[in-house]
Amino acid sequence: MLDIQNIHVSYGSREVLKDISIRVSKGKIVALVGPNGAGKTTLIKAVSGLVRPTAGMIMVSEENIADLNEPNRAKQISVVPQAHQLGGAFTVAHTVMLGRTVHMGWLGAPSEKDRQRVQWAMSEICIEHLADRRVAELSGGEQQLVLLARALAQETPVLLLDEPTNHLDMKHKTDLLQLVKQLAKQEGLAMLMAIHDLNLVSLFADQVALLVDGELLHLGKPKEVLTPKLIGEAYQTNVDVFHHPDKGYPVIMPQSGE
Amino acid sequence: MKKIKNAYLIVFIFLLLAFVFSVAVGAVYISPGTIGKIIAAKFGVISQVNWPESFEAIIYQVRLPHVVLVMMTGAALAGSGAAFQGLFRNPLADPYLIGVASGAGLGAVIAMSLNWPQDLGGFSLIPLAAFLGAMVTVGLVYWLARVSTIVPLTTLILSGVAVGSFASAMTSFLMLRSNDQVYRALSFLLGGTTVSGWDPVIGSLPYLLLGLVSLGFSGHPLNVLQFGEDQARQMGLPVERVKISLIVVASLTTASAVAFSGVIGFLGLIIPHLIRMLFGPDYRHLIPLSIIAGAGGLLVADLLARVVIAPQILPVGVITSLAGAPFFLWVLRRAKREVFW
Repeated sequence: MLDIQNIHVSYGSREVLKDISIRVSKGKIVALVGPNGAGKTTLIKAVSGLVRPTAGMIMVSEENIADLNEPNRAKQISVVPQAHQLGGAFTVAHTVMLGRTVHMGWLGAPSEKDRQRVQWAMSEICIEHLADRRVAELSGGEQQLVLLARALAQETPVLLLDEPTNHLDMKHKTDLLQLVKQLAKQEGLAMLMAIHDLNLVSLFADQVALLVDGELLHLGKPKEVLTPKLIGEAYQTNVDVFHHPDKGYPVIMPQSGE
Repeated sequence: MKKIKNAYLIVFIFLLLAFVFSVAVGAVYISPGTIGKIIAAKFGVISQVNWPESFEAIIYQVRLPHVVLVMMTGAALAGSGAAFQGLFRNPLADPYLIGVASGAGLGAVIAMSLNWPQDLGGFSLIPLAAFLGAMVTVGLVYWLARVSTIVPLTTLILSGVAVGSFASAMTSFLMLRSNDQVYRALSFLLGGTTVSGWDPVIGSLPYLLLGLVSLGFSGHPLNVLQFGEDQARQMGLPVERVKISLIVVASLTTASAVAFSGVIGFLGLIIPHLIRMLFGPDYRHLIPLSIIAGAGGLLVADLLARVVIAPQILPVGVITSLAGAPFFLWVLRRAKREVFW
């Protein structure tokens, strides 16, 4: 479980995150939404230890991750970055194996357990057939899957995803999130995911955290957060929200401004 | 796995051949068979002697120390070059990127222009001055690039380039001022050996051995760093610690090589690329393979430097660039379709 308690983050004198509290339970996905510059990426960076909060605590398994060094933090939290940040010369199998860095020794010699975990991660994500391909030869969608497998190989209770569906087509977006949701449930992972597409959020998130100007405007179920009023206020644009005739989830449609 | 074993076999055979020919060729040619026998006799494997006595002196006093120093230098340059390319994730990185060469050059030229004695109590001073110049320069570059507790790599490269060109300019200035030392200084800057005998080998061996072994085992952290510093940190690598250790080790290794052998260009840039193109980007093997191939590669260049205008000897740095550049371009053209970086 991930428990973000009243954290503040500043870049110099500018406060970019103000008093954010979000709790992500085991097996759940919390979507982090908000306009560009709202602080989604900064929050992901703060939780993964790249940026140090000026106040507040980030608790994982009873430990404040600000007190942990890199290896110990990486045993609690793994990150799925955007696919265009992936280096290309290694093979898929090697890339996923490097997710085991905190479990392997200094020399990077994998144990039997490391190999098994990597095998498992690749088969869960269905990329075993790509094992010997170079990452640079893969499509954006496949690269995103490799990064997900690498994070799974890292074997952490908390997973952060930074806009994992950017650069993917419609089918790959839904396939990826389907897989993510299934993994969260099956493995009991707590997932915090920055994402832009509100309709995907509506389909796959258990909870939605709406950030505006570094502040948490609202945190709740998709139905509670994805309303014309809150979205309009956050994005400064008018939207219509319909409800799916059979399944009932909100469908968000921007107004054309006519 | 088998492919990697073959890779080690190939570079090792290359090194062995380069070694044998380097010992064999010189003012007096000594056949590989005789070399084998002379070395075997030293270890008491064979007892009957059927070669001129002078051969032993040539091999033990002249050729072997020279060849061993060249091997150590080549290994140091290629190993540090590979490490720097991985650390900076930049195909243009070479062992001299953050000022080792210009610092060593300045140190050596200061010593020469001050007319320092060649040695003091058996201690050769030019290499010492070069080594100090290199370490002071790298220290300065590191200090200038430091922002509180971290060292951004872009700042490190830029301050390396700036401090490096300042040191080079100082070197040129000193050289122009001291006419009688110009040739000696130029030779050092082009990678001409300033020393001979076993002393330099023994003097630099501890640093080089320590450096090469550390570099050889730094492949895994370098692999993780290929995802960028942010991801490496999120994957559990103590990035700043890895960076400083690699910078210290690679600079120390390069500085001890340059101090005795002069500034040999290009080798530390191309050997890692060749290995990467031939055997892949995994730094766990890329660095050890570069170390072995670098030793062999510099032996070949040194051999050429000794025979091209014999009995005169060219600074080996001239050969590494003159012959290395076209060779490298040829390989690059052949491999252009592969993703290797």
